[in-house]
Amino acid sequence: MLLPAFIVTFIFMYVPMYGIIIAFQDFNPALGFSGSPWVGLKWFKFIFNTPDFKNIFWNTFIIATSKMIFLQVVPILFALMLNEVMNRPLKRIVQTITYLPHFLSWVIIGGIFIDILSTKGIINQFLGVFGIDPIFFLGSNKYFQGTMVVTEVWREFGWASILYLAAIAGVNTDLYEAAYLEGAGRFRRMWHVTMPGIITTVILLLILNLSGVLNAGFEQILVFYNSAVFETGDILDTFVFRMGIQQAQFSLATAVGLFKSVIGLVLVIITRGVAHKTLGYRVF
Amino acid sequence: MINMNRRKTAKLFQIINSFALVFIAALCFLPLWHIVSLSLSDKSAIAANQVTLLPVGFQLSSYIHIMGDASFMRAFLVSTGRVVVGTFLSMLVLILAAYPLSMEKEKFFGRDVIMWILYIPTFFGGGLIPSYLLMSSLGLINNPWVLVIGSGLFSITGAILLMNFFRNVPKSISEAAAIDGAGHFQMLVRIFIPLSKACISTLVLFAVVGTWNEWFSGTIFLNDRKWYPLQTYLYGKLNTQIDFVNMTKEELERVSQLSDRSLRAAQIIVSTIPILILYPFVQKHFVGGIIVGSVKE
Repeated sequence: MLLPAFIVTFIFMYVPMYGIIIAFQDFNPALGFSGSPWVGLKWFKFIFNTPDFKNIFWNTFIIATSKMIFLQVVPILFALMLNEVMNRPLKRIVQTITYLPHFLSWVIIGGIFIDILSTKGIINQFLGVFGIDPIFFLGSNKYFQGTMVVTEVWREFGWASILYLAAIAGVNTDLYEAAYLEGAGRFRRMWHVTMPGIITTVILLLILNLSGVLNAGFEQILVFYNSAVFETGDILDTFVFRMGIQQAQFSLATAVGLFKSVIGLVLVIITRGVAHKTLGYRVF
Repeated sequence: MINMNRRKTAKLFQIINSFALVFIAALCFLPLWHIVSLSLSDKSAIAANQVTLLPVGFQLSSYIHIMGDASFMRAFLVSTGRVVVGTFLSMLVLILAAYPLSMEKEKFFGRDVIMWILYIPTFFGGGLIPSYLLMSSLGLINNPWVLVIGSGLFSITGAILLMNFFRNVPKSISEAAAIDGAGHFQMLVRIFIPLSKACISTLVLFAVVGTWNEWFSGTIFLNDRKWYPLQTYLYGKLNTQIDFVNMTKEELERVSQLSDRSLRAAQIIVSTIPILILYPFVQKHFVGGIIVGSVKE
């Protein structure tokens, strides 16, 4: 019964791992894996001597870590706010609406935001009321990274808050009552009762998310970026895509991809290890 | 006295907090709503920046144009077919895998090793280019089957969810069935699947939504627009102008009354409608969905 899953995984997951060898070759599709000449670390030396690469690496890192920070903080605050709502229907409506963007693809979200963020779009119309000149959010290097962070947070903060809401629901209600009777105000109760109650969840997610410091959001950037913002918007994944698929520089692109996935692998092993040791986290 | 004050500030807090949350929800909802309004507004109103929250110069011609646009409707059908075939095949593979994986390792020699083999690709892979070269050597470039196969037929995270569900099936039931002579297949079909309907429907819903939304494999593996699913089709249109060359005279006339922003907006809405229809059902399965999406326990 396991055979179909096994075959699918082997062909589509493990065979490409073998294909990584072309990062150490001058790969020529006509010669194939075995016929292409070996060049050792040529492509890696080439990458590290390319000034663009440094830039792309930092773009990736900055976009990914900014998203990580905001998606760590905003969902917690949002969950705390939701938890205080006494009016059940209101809570439910807010949840329904804020979770929805998570289910829209980046193409759809791209279509929406490319329109509303354009110079003629509704956002610039709104800013115009305050006398602000139109801002080309998706076409200027000054705003592109910020726009990526905001649209990512827009899509994910509601969905990401679910885990925190679940953790908050698990906090012992007797503790709130005791704190209330002791005279603790709402914010002190949040800080001294709710936060300690959910801190394990917070730390666990923080640790697990750390392995994504180079995941800046491939699909999102691919949808939003254009040649005017390559300087700030180009990330490792989009670089691999352009070099490999569009310009057929197979070996170079594979080397860049391998560089990224090795860092990712090391971080996953470390963070999962830490989460397992300290918090007893396990997947299966 | 202190209590009175407390109650007052509590009430004030409730009001401020509720307003803040309504504001946040509006930030999530209004962009989508604005696009709906654009899709229903006429050209001059859009050009004059009159459209904000309600359609101005109400018209349905954007939608009428889409319905008559053969390539858009074809992409819609390709997406639908892909969702049906893709979901069916991936669920088949997943259910078949979850059953043996749910057994204890005493009963199934090598279970842990197989589990690891299936799990490792979630955090390390060959990457984009080797996958592309593989697809090309399998003859899957420009082949519509790549839409089903290319984005992964088997998800171990889904299998882990179902596996945990299978483990909660009471031992007494499966043991009784084994005594009655039921083989593994019978056991799976007659007992495990019917008892895991809740979990399986979660997996089906998330597979449907995920497949409908997937656009990247169409973008890289297909050159021929004939087999573009809707989301890939839309991706290709995002940064390009509307194509006036291949239109009939009637279409041109209709389009001249239309703003390309309104047309694009209508395309976005039509591509989103299936998700909106499924959303109320998806809502019931959020918790399971989080696990499918992000491997936790």
